[in-house]
Amino acid sequence: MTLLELKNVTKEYPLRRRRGQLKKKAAVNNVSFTIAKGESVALVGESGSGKSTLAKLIMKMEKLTSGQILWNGHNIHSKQLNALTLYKNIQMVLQDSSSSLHPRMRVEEILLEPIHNFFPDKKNDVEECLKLLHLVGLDASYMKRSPNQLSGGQKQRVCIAKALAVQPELIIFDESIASLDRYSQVSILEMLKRIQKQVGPSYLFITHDLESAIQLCDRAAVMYQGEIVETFTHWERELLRHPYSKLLFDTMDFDHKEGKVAAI
Amino acid sequence: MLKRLQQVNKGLLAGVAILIGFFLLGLFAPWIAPHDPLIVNLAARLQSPSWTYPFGTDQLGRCILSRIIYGVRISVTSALVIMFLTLLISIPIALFTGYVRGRSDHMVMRIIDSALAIPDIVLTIAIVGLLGPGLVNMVIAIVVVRWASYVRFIRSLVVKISQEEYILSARMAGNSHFRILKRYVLPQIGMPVLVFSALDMGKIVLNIAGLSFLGLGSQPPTPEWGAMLNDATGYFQISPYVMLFPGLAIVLFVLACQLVSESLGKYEQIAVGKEA
Repeated sequence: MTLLELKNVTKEYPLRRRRGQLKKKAAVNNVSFTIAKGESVALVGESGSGKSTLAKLIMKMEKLTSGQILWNGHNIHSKQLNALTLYKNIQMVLQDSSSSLHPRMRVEEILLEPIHNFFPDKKNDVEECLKLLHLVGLDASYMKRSPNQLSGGQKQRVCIAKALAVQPELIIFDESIASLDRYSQVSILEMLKRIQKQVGPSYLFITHDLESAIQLCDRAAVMYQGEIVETFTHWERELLRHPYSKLLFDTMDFDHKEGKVAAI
Repeated sequence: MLKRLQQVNKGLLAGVAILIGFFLLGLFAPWIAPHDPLIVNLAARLQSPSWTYPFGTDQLGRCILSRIIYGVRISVTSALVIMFLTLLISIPIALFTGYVRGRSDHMVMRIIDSALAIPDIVLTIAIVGLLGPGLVNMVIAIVVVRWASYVRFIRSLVVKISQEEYILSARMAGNSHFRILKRYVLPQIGMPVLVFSALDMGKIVLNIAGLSFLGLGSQPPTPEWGAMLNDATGYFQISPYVMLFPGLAIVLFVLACQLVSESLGKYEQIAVGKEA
Protein backbone atom coordinates (compact mmCIF):
# COMPACT_ATOMS: atom_id res chain seq x y z
CA MET A 1 0.00 0.00 0.00
CA THR A 2 1.40 3.36 -0.99
CA LEU A 3 1.70 5.82 1.87
CA LEU A 4 3.49 8.72 0.29
CA GLU A 5 3.56 9.56 -3.37
CA LEU A 6 5.50 12.37 -4.98
CA LYS A 7 4.44 13.35 -8.47
CA ASN A 8 6.75 15.59 -10.52
CA VAL A 9 7.63 17.66 -7.50
CA THR A 10 9.51 20.86 -8.34
CA LYS A 11 10.70 23.59 -6.05
CA GLU A 12 12.30 26.72 -7.45
CA TYR A 13 13.99 29.47 -5.49
CA PRO A 14 14.25 32.95 -6.97
CA LEU A 15 17.76 34.21 -7.59
CA ARG A 16 18.50 37.88 -8.05
CA ARG A 17 16.67 39.88 -10.64
CA ARG A 18 18.57 40.68 -13.79
CA ARG A 19 17.26 43.26 -16.29
CA GLY A 20 13.75 42.80 -14.96
CA GLN A 21 13.89 39.06 -15.46
CA LEU A 22 13.70 36.87 -12.40
CA LYS A 23 16.22 34.07 -12.56
CA LYS A 24 15.20 30.91 -10.78
CA LYS A 25 17.09 27.97 -9.49
CA ALA A 26 15.38 24.62 -9.13
CA ALA A 27 16.43 23.00 -5.86
CA VAL A 28 14.18 20.04 -6.55
CA ASN A 29 13.44 19.27 -10.16
CA ASN A 30 10.63 17.02 -11.30
CA VAL A 31 11.04 14.38 -8.62
CA SER A 32 8.69 11.41 -8.41
CA PHE A 33 8.81 8.47 -6.08
CA THR A 34 6.67 6.49 -3.66
CA ILE A 35 7.05 5.01 -0.21
CA ALA A 36 4.96 2.00 0.76
CA LYS A 37 3.84 1.01 4.24
CA GLY A 38 6.59 -0.53 6.33
CA GLU A 39 9.26 0.25 3.76
CA SER A 40 12.52 2.09 4.32
CA VAL A 41 13.76 4.20 1.46
CA ALA A 42 17.11 5.94 1.35
CA LEU A 43 17.60 9.25 -0.37
CA VAL A 44 21.29 9.60 -1.07
CA GLY A 45 23.09 12.59 -2.49
CA GLU A 46 25.77 15.19 -1.92
CA SER A 47 25.10 18.40 -0.04
CA GLY A 48 23.12 20.87 -2.08
CA SER A 49 21.45 18.16 -4.12
CA GLY A 50 18.00 19.06 -2.77
CA LYS A 51 17.47 16.23 -0.28
CA SER A 52 16.61 18.45 2.67
CA THR A 53 14.42 20.70 0.53
CA LEU A 54 12.48 17.62 -0.48
CA ALA A 55 12.03 16.69 3.19
CA LYS A 56 10.81 20.21 3.95
CA LEU A 57 8.35 20.00 1.07
CA ILE A 58 6.96 16.75 2.44
CA MET A 59 6.63 18.33 5.89
CA LYS A 60 4.84 21.34 4.36
CA MET A 61 7.52 23.71 5.59
CA GLU A 62 8.12 25.05 2.09
CA LYS A 63 5.66 25.81 -0.68
CA LEU A 64 5.64 23.70 -3.80
CA THR A 65 6.37 25.33 -7.14
CA SER A 66 4.64 22.56 -9.07
CA GLY A 67 3.74 18.90 -8.76
CA GLN A 68 1.89 17.03 -6.08
CA ILE A 69 2.67 15.28 -2.83
CA LEU A 70 0.02 12.77 -1.82
CA TRP A 71 -0.39 11.17 1.57
CA ASN A 72 -2.74 8.16 1.38
CA GLY A 73 -4.15 9.82 -1.73
CA HIS A 74 -4.70 13.23 -0.06
CA ASN A 75 -2.82 16.27 -1.22
CA ILE A 76 -0.47 17.39 1.55
CA HIS A 77 -0.24 20.94 0.22
CA SER A 78 -3.99 21.49 0.06
CA LYS A 79 -5.65 23.72 2.63
CA GLN A 80 -7.89 20.97 3.99
CA LEU A 81 -4.99 19.12 5.55
CA ASN A 82 -3.69 21.08 8.51
CA ALA A 83 -0.16 20.85 9.77
CA LEU A 84 -0.98 19.01 12.98
CA THR A 85 -2.79 16.20 11.14
CA LEU A 86 0.25 15.93 8.93
CA TYR A 87 2.58 15.70 11.92
CA LYS A 88 0.39 12.99 13.40
CA ASN A 89 1.24 10.89 10.35
CA ILE A 90 4.71 12.04 9.41
CA GLN A 91 7.48 12.95 11.83
CA MET A 92 10.92 14.22 11.04
CA VAL A 93 14.13 13.73 13.01
CA LEU A 94 16.42 16.65 12.37
CA GLN A 95 20.15 16.64 11.82
CA ASP A 96 21.36 18.52 14.86
CA SER A 97 20.02 16.80 17.95
CA SER A 98 21.58 19.37 20.30
CA SER A 99 19.62 22.25 18.84
CA SER A 100 16.42 20.32 18.27
CA LEU A 101 15.93 19.69 21.98
CA HIS A 102 14.96 22.60 24.18
CA PRO A 103 17.97 23.17 26.47
CA ARG A 104 15.83 23.81 29.55
CA MET A 105 13.43 20.88 29.28
CA ARG A 106 13.98 17.48 30.82
CA VAL A 107 13.74 14.31 28.76
CA GLU A 108 10.48 13.46 30.49
CA GLU A 109 8.87 16.78 29.54
CA ILE A 110 10.17 16.48 25.99
CA LEU A 111 8.51 13.08 25.59
CA LEU A 112 5.31 13.94 27.45
CA GLU A 113 4.59 16.91 25.23
CA PRO A 114 3.73 14.99 22.03
CA ILE A 115 1.85 12.37 24.05
CA HIS A 116 -0.33 15.04 25.67
CA ASN A 117 -0.83 16.91 22.43
CA PHE A 118 -1.77 13.96 20.24
CA PHE A 119 -3.33 11.60 22.77
CA PRO A 120 -4.98 13.86 25.36
CA ASP A 121 -6.96 11.01 26.95
CA LYS A 122 -3.99 8.83 27.66
CA LYS A 123 -3.84 8.01 31.38
CA ASN A 124 -0.56 6.19 31.85
CA ASP A 125 1.58 8.78 30.11
CA VAL A 126 4.67 8.31 32.26
CA GLU A 127 4.64 4.58 31.58
CA GLU A 128 4.40 5.44 27.90
CA CYS A 129 7.52 7.59 28.26
CA LEU A 130 9.41 4.73 29.86
CA LYS A 131 8.29 2.42 27.09
CA LEU A 132 9.55 4.89 24.49
CA LEU A 133 12.88 5.29 26.25
CA HIS A 134 13.21 1.54 26.46
CA LEU A 135 12.44 1.28 22.75
CA VAL A 136 15.35 3.58 21.90
CA GLY A 137 17.67 1.77 24.29
CA LEU A 138 17.71 4.18 27.24
CA ASP A 139 16.66 3.33 30.78
CA ALA A 140 14.46 5.09 33.31
CA SER A 141 17.37 7.05 34.80
CA TYR A 142 17.35 9.30 31.72
CA MET A 143 13.85 10.61 32.44
CA LYS A 144 15.03 13.40 34.72
CA ARG A 145 18.07 14.46 32.71
CA SER A 146 18.26 17.60 30.65
CA PRO A 147 19.70 17.54 27.11
CA ASN A 148 23.07 18.98 28.14
CA GLN A 149 23.62 15.93 30.34
CA LEU A 150 23.33 13.61 27.34
CA SER A 151 25.85 12.57 24.70
CA GLY A 152 25.20 13.22 21.01
CA GLY A 153 24.01 9.68 20.42
CA GLN A 154 21.73 9.75 23.45
CA LYS A 155 20.26 13.08 22.35
CA GLN A 156 19.49 11.64 18.95
CA ARG A 157 17.84 8.64 20.61
CA VAL A 158 15.66 11.03 22.61
CA CYS A 159 14.75 12.82 19.36
CA ILE A 160 13.78 9.49 17.82
CA ALA A 161 11.73 8.59 20.90
CA LYS A 162 10.00 11.97 20.61
CA ALA A 163 9.10 11.20 16.99
CA LEU A 164 7.90 7.71 17.94
CA ALA A 165 5.72 9.13 20.72
CA VAL A 166 3.33 10.43 18.07
CA GLN A 167 3.08 6.91 16.58
CA PRO A 168 3.57 8.18 13.03
CA GLU A 169 3.36 6.05 9.94
CA LEU A 170 6.41 7.62 8.34
CA ILE A 171 9.55 9.01 9.92
CA ILE A 172 11.89 11.17 7.89
CA PHE A 173 15.50 11.22 9.02
CA ASP A 174 17.22 14.31 7.64
CA GLU A 175 20.93 13.49 8.00
CA SER A 176 19.99 12.49 11.51
CA ILE A 177 23.01 10.41 12.36
CA ALA A 178 25.56 12.20 10.19
CA SER A 179 27.21 14.03 13.07
CA LEU A 180 27.68 10.94 15.23
CA ASP A 181 30.66 8.65 15.44
CA ARG A 182 30.60 5.43 13.45
CA TYR A 183 29.87 3.22 16.43
CA SER A 184 26.83 5.27 17.54
CA GLN A 185 25.67 5.40 13.94
CA VAL A 186 25.72 1.63 13.63
CA SER A 187 23.97 1.05 16.94
CA ILE A 188 21.25 3.58 16.10
CA LEU A 189 20.76 1.96 12.70
CA GLU A 190 20.39 -1.45 14.36
CA MET A 191 17.94 0.10 16.78
CA LEU A 192 15.90 1.61 13.92
CA LYS A 193 15.69 -1.79 12.25
CA ARG A 194 14.47 -3.33 15.48
CA ILE A 195 11.90 -0.57 15.99
CA GLN A 196 10.61 -1.04 12.46
CA LYS A 197 10.03 -4.73 13.20
CA GLN A 198 8.31 -3.98 16.52
CA VAL A 199 6.26 -0.90 15.70
CA GLY A 200 6.27 -0.84 11.94
CA PRO A 201 6.75 2.76 10.72
CA SER A 202 8.12 3.50 7.26
CA TYR A 203 11.40 5.36 7.01
CA LEU A 204 12.65 7.95 4.58
CA PHE A 205 16.32 8.04 5.35
CA ILE A 206 18.08 11.07 3.93
CA THR A 207 21.85 10.82 3.97
CA HIS A 208 25.04 11.48 2.08
CA ASP A 209 26.48 8.28 3.42
CA LEU A 210 25.72 5.23 1.30
CA GLU A 211 26.99 2.83 3.93
CA SER A 212 24.34 3.65 6.48
CA ALA A 213 21.70 3.69 3.77
CA ILE A 214 22.68 0.16 2.78
CA GLN A 215 22.48 -1.05 6.35
CA LEU A 216 18.98 0.25 6.94
CA CYS A 217 17.08 0.52 3.70
CA ASP A 218 15.40 -1.74 1.19
CA ARG A 219 15.63 0.75 -1.62
CA ALA A 220 17.66 3.81 -2.47
CA ALA A 221 17.22 6.83 -4.68
CA VAL A 222 20.26 8.84 -5.68
CA MET A 223 19.70 12.56 -5.96
CA TYR A 224 22.00 14.75 -8.00
CA GLN A 225 21.48 18.46 -8.66
CA GLY A 226 17.82 18.37 -7.69
CA GLU A 227 16.89 15.32 -9.69
CA ILE A 228 16.60 11.68 -8.84
CA VAL A 229 19.07 10.16 -11.23
CA GLU A 230 18.77 6.58 -10.20
CA THR A 231 16.82 4.23 -7.97
CA PHE A 232 18.00 0.78 -7.09
CA THR A 233 17.24 -2.13 -4.80
CA HIS A 234 20.39 -4.19 -5.30
CA TRP A 235 23.53 -2.79 -3.83
CA GLU A 236 25.79 -3.69 -6.72
CA ARG A 237 28.02 -1.32 -8.58
CA GLU A 238 27.65 -3.08 -11.90
CA LEU A 239 23.95 -2.34 -12.00
CA LEU A 240 24.41 1.41 -11.59
CA ARG A 241 24.19 3.64 -14.63
CA HIS A 242 24.69 7.22 -13.51
CA PRO A 243 28.32 8.32 -13.03
CA TYR A 244 27.50 10.05 -9.73
CA SER A 245 26.06 6.92 -8.11
CA LYS A 246 29.12 4.99 -9.31
CA LEU A 247 31.28 7.61 -7.69
CA LEU A 248 29.31 7.28 -4.45
CA PHE A 249 29.92 3.56 -4.50
CA ASP A 250 33.62 3.93 -5.16
CA THR A 251 34.20 6.33 -2.29
CA MET A 252 33.01 3.97 0.38
CA ASP A 253 34.75 1.18 2.11
CA PHE A 254 32.32 -1.48 1.08
CA ASP A 255 32.54 -5.07 0.03
CA HIS A 256 29.64 -5.13 -2.37
CA LYS A 257 29.86 -8.81 -3.22
CA GLU A 258 29.32 -9.76 0.41
CA GLY A 259 26.66 -7.13 0.81
CA LYS A 260 28.06 -6.09 4.17
CA VAL A 261 29.99 -3.13 5.42
CA ALA A 262 33.60 -4.20 5.68
CA ALA A 263 35.04 -1.63 7.99
CA ILE A 264 33.26 -2.54 11.22
CA MET B 1 35.29 31.53 36.27
CA LEU B 2 34.20 31.46 39.89
CA LYS B 3 36.00 34.72 40.49
CA ARG B 4 34.16 36.33 37.60
CA LEU B 5 30.87 35.13 38.96
CA GLN B 6 31.65 36.67 42.32
CA GLN B 7 32.55 40.00 40.72
CA VAL B 8 29.34 39.91 38.78
CA ASN B 9 27.43 39.19 41.95
CA LYS B 10 29.04 42.10 43.76
CA GLY B 11 27.90 44.55 41.08
CA LEU B 12 24.47 42.99 41.01
CA LEU B 13 24.21 43.09 44.80
CA ALA B 14 25.27 46.72 44.98
CA GLY B 15 22.85 47.73 42.23
CA VAL B 16 19.94 45.79 43.67
CA ALA B 17 20.71 47.13 47.16
CA ILE B 18 20.60 50.73 45.94
CA LEU B 19 17.37 50.12 44.05
CA ILE B 20 15.74 48.42 47.03
CA GLY B 21 16.92 51.35 49.15
CA PHE B 22 15.15 53.74 46.79
CA PHE B 23 11.97 51.67 46.82
CA LEU B 24 11.94 51.54 50.62
CA LEU B 25 12.50 55.30 50.75
CA GLY B 26 9.57 55.86 48.46
CA LEU B 27 7.37 53.36 50.28
CA PHE B 28 8.04 54.70 53.79
CA ALA B 29 8.51 58.35 52.80
CA PRO B 30 6.14 59.78 55.43
CA TRP B 31 8.07 58.05 58.22
CA ILE B 32 11.57 58.61 56.89
CA ALA B 33 11.36 62.20 55.65
CA PRO B 34 12.23 64.68 58.40
CA HIS B 35 9.83 67.39 57.13
CA ASP B 36 6.75 67.81 55.01
CA PRO B 37 8.08 68.31 51.45
CA LEU B 38 5.50 70.96 50.63
CA ILE B 39 5.72 73.20 53.69
CA VAL B 40 7.17 76.57 52.82
CA ASN B 41 9.38 78.24 55.39
CA LEU B 42 10.66 81.46 53.91
CA ALA B 43 12.66 82.26 57.03
CA ALA B 44 14.86 79.24 56.34
CA ARG B 45 15.31 79.60 52.57
CA LEU B 46 18.47 78.48 50.77
CA GLN B 47 20.16 77.11 53.86
CA SER B 48 23.25 74.94 53.75
CA PRO B 49 23.08 71.39 55.14
CA SER B 50 22.57 71.35 58.89
CA TRP B 51 21.21 68.90 61.49
CA THR B 52 17.65 70.13 60.97
CA TYR B 53 17.93 70.16 57.18
CA PRO B 54 20.51 67.47 56.28
CA PHE B 55 20.52 68.44 52.57
CA GLY B 56 19.72 72.10 53.11
CA THR B 57 16.61 73.96 51.93
CA ASP B 58 15.47 75.34 48.60
CA GLN B 59 14.42 78.82 47.56
CA LEU B 60 11.12 78.47 49.41
CA GLY B 61 12.68 76.98 52.54
CA ARG B 62 11.44 73.46 51.84
CA CYS B 63 13.56 70.57 53.09
CA ILE B 64 15.51 69.17 50.11
CA LEU B 65 16.03 65.74 51.70
CA SER B 66 12.30 65.33 52.26
CA ARG B 67 11.59 66.48 48.73
CA ILE B 68 14.08 63.96 47.31
CA ILE B 69 12.55 61.17 49.41
CA TYR B 70 9.03 62.05 48.27
CA GLY B 71 10.40 62.51 44.75
CA VAL B 72 11.21 58.79 44.63
CA ARG B 73 7.48 58.17 44.56
CA ILE B 74 6.98 60.33 41.50
CA SER B 75 10.15 59.56 39.52
CA VAL B 76 10.48 55.84 40.17
CA THR B 77 6.78 55.07 40.07
CA SER B 78 6.27 56.86 36.78
CA ALA B 79 9.39 55.16 35.40
CA LEU B 80 7.98 51.78 36.44
CA VAL B 81 4.59 52.60 34.94
CA ILE B 82 6.25 53.66 31.70
CA MET B 83 8.31 50.46 31.63
CA PHE B 84 5.27 48.30 32.32
CA LEU B 85 3.15 49.97 29.64
CA THR B 86 5.96 49.85 27.10
CA LEU B 87 6.52 46.13 27.65
CA LEU B 88 2.77 45.50 27.64
CA ILE B 89 2.52 47.07 24.19
CA SER B 90 5.76 45.93 22.64
CA ILE B 91 6.04 42.28 23.71
CA PRO B 92 2.83 41.07 22.01
CA ILE B 93 3.60 43.06 18.85
CA ALA B 94 7.17 41.79 18.77
CA LEU B 95 6.14 38.19 19.42
CA PHE B 96 3.57 38.32 16.67
CA THR B 97 5.66 40.05 14.01
CA GLY B 98 8.85 38.18 14.83
CA TYR B 99 7.19 34.78 14.83
CA VAL B 100 4.76 35.15 11.94
CA ARG B 101 6.99 37.36 9.76
CA GLY B 102 5.60 38.08 6.32
CA ARG B 103 3.61 41.12 5.32
CA SER B 104 2.41 42.22 8.76
CA ASP B 105 6.01 42.16 9.95
CA HIS B 106 7.09 44.39 7.05
CA MET B 107 4.32 46.84 7.76
CA VAL B 108 5.00 47.09 11.48
CA MET B 109 8.73 47.44 10.88
CA ARG B 110 8.22 50.32 8.42
CA ILE B 111 6.01 52.09 10.98
CA ILE B 112 8.72 51.58 13.57
CA ASP B 113 11.42 52.80 11.19
CA SER B 114 9.51 56.02 10.66
CA ALA B 115 8.90 56.37 14.41
CA LEU B 116 12.60 55.90 15.07
CA ALA B 117 13.58 58.39 12.40
CA ILE B 118 12.35 61.29 14.55
CA PRO B 119 14.66 62.22 17.43
CA ASP B 120 13.28 60.89 20.75
CA ILE B 121 13.23 64.09 22.72
CA VAL B 122 11.73 66.17 19.92
CA LEU B 123 8.87 63.71 19.49
CA THR B 124 8.26 63.52 23.24
CA ILE B 125 8.16 67.30 23.54
CA ALA B 126 5.83 67.51 20.57
CA ILE B 127 3.42 64.98 22.10
CA VAL B 128 3.49 66.59 25.54
CA GLY B 129 3.00 69.93 23.82
CA LEU B 130 -0.09 68.58 22.08
CA LEU B 131 -1.54 66.93 25.18
CA GLY B 132 -0.50 69.66 27.57
CA PRO B 133 2.07 69.44 30.35
CA GLY B 134 1.51 67.12 33.30
CA LEU B 135 2.67 63.82 34.72
CA VAL B 136 0.13 61.56 32.99
CA ASN B 137 0.63 63.19 29.62
CA MET B 138 4.37 62.88 30.03
CA VAL B 139 4.01 59.15 30.76
CA ILE B 140 1.89 58.72 27.63
CA ALA B 141 4.38 60.67 25.53
CA ILE B 142 7.37 58.64 26.72
CA VAL B 143 5.56 55.34 26.11
CA VAL B 144 4.58 56.43 22.61
CA VAL B 145 8.19 57.27 21.85
CA ARG B 146 9.75 54.21 23.50
CA TRP B 147 7.66 51.27 22.32
CA ALA B 148 9.20 51.31 18.84
CA SER B 149 12.75 50.61 19.96
CA TYR B 150 11.48 47.89 22.30
CA VAL B 151 9.55 46.18 19.53
CA ARG B 152 12.60 46.34 17.32
CA PHE B 153 14.85 44.82 19.98
CA ILE B 154 12.45 42.11 21.16
CA ARG B 155 11.48 41.24 17.60
CA SER B 156 15.12 40.56 16.74
CA LEU B 157 15.29 38.13 19.67
CA VAL B 158 12.06 36.44 18.64
CA VAL B 159 13.21 36.08 15.03
CA LYS B 160 16.43 34.44 16.18
CA ILE B 161 14.68 32.04 18.54
CA SER B 162 11.97 31.18 16.01
CA GLN B 163 14.62 29.91 13.64
CA GLU B 164 16.02 27.49 16.20
CA GLU B 165 15.46 23.87 15.40
CA TYR B 166 13.78 23.15 18.71
CA ILE B 167 10.90 25.39 17.67
CA LEU B 168 10.45 23.29 14.55
CA SER B 169 10.73 20.20 16.66
CA ALA B 170 8.18 21.55 19.14
CA ARG B 171 5.83 22.26 16.27
CA MET B 172 6.15 18.66 15.12
CA ALA B 173 5.36 17.53 18.66
CA GLY B 174 1.91 18.94 18.04
CA ASN B 175 2.13 22.28 19.87
CA SER B 176 -0.04 25.11 18.62
CA HIS B 177 1.68 28.34 17.59
CA PHE B 178 0.30 30.08 20.65
CA ARG B 179 1.70 27.41 22.96
CA ILE B 180 5.08 27.60 21.26
CA LEU B 181 5.16 31.35 21.81
CA LYS B 182 4.17 30.91 25.43
CA ARG B 183 6.34 27.94 26.39
CA TYR B 184 9.33 28.23 24.09
CA VAL B 185 9.78 31.81 22.92
CA LEU B 186 8.61 33.95 25.82
CA PRO B 187 10.82 32.36 28.52
CA GLN B 188 13.84 32.64 26.24
CA ILE B 189 13.47 36.38 25.69
CA GLY B 190 12.92 37.06 29.41
CA MET B 191 16.51 37.54 30.45
CA PRO B 192 17.70 39.78 27.57
CA VAL B 193 14.57 41.90 27.93
CA LEU B 194 15.27 42.25 31.64
CA VAL B 195 18.84 43.38 30.93
CA PHE B 196 17.64 45.81 28.31
CA SER B 197 14.85 47.26 30.43
CA ALA B 198 17.04 47.58 33.54
CA LEU B 199 19.40 49.75 31.51
CA ASP B 200 16.50 51.64 30.03
CA MET B 201 14.98 52.24 33.46
CA GLY B 202 17.82 54.65 34.18
CA LYS B 203 17.28 56.36 30.85
CA ILE B 204 13.58 56.74 31.55
CA VAL B 205 14.26 58.39 34.91
CA LEU B 206 16.62 60.77 33.10
CA ASN B 207 13.96 61.35 30.50
CA ILE B 208 11.33 62.15 33.12
CA ALA B 209 13.76 64.45 34.90
CA GLY B 210 14.62 66.11 31.60
CA LEU B 211 11.00 66.75 30.71
CA SER B 212 10.20 68.00 34.21
CA PHE B 213 13.26 70.24 33.95
CA LEU B 214 11.74 71.71 30.82
CA GLY B 215 8.52 72.20 32.75
CA LEU B 216 6.59 69.61 30.75
CA GLY B 217 6.39 66.90 33.38
CA SER B 218 5.18 67.12 36.94
CA GLN B 219 3.96 70.56 37.91
CA PRO B 220 4.96 72.54 41.01
CA PRO B 221 4.80 72.07 43.92
CA THR B 222 5.05 68.27 43.30
CA PRO B 223 8.50 67.14 44.42
CA GLU B 224 10.11 65.55 41.38
CA TRP B 225 13.86 65.31 40.86
CA GLY B 226 13.94 66.93 37.42
CA ALA B 227 11.50 69.64 38.46
CA MET B 228 13.67 70.32 41.52
CA LEU B 229 16.65 70.84 39.24
CA ASN B 230 14.57 73.18 37.14
CA ASP B 231 13.51 75.19 40.18
CA ALA B 232 17.11 75.38 41.32
CA THR B 233 18.52 76.94 38.15
CA GLY B 234 18.11 80.47 39.45
CA TYR B 235 19.76 79.83 42.80
CA PHE B 236 22.52 77.28 42.39
CA GLN B 237 25.22 79.95 42.23
CA ILE B 238 24.28 81.16 45.69
CA SER B 239 23.43 77.78 47.12
CA PRO B 240 24.75 74.82 45.05
CA TYR B 241 23.07 72.24 47.33
CA VAL B 242 19.72 73.06 45.78
CA MET B 243 20.93 71.48 42.56
CA LEU B 244 23.57 69.09 43.85
CA PHE B 245 21.43 66.69 45.86
CA PRO B 246 18.55 66.10 43.41
CA GLY B 247 21.22 65.64 40.73
CA LEU B 248 23.04 63.10 42.89
CA ALA B 249 19.80 61.21 43.47
CA ILE B 250 19.28 60.90 39.72
CA VAL B 251 22.90 59.87 39.16
CA LEU B 252 22.70 57.23 41.89
CA PHE B 253 19.48 55.75 40.54
CA VAL B 254 20.75 55.61 36.95
CA LEU B 255 24.03 54.11 38.14
CA ALA B 256 22.22 51.39 40.08
CA CYS B 257 20.13 50.52 37.02
CA GLN B 258 23.25 50.27 34.90
CA LEU B 259 25.00 48.12 37.48
CA VAL B 260 22.07 45.72 37.60
CA SER B 261 21.76 45.62 33.83
CA GLU B 262 25.45 45.08 33.23
CA SER B 263 25.81 42.35 35.84
CA LEU B 264 22.70 40.58 34.62
CA GLY B 265 24.12 40.74 31.10
CA LYS B 266 27.41 39.22 32.22
CA TYR B 267 25.59 36.67 34.33
CA GLU B 268 23.59 35.62 31.32
CA GLN B 269 26.73 35.23 29.26
CA ILE B 270 28.23 33.02 31.93
CA ALA B 271 25.08 30.95 32.17
CA VAL B 272 25.01 30.52 28.40
CA GLY B 273 28.69 29.59 28.38
CA LYS B 274 27.96 26.89 30.92
CA GLU B 275 25.16 25.48 28.88
CA ALA B 276 27.11 25.26 25.66
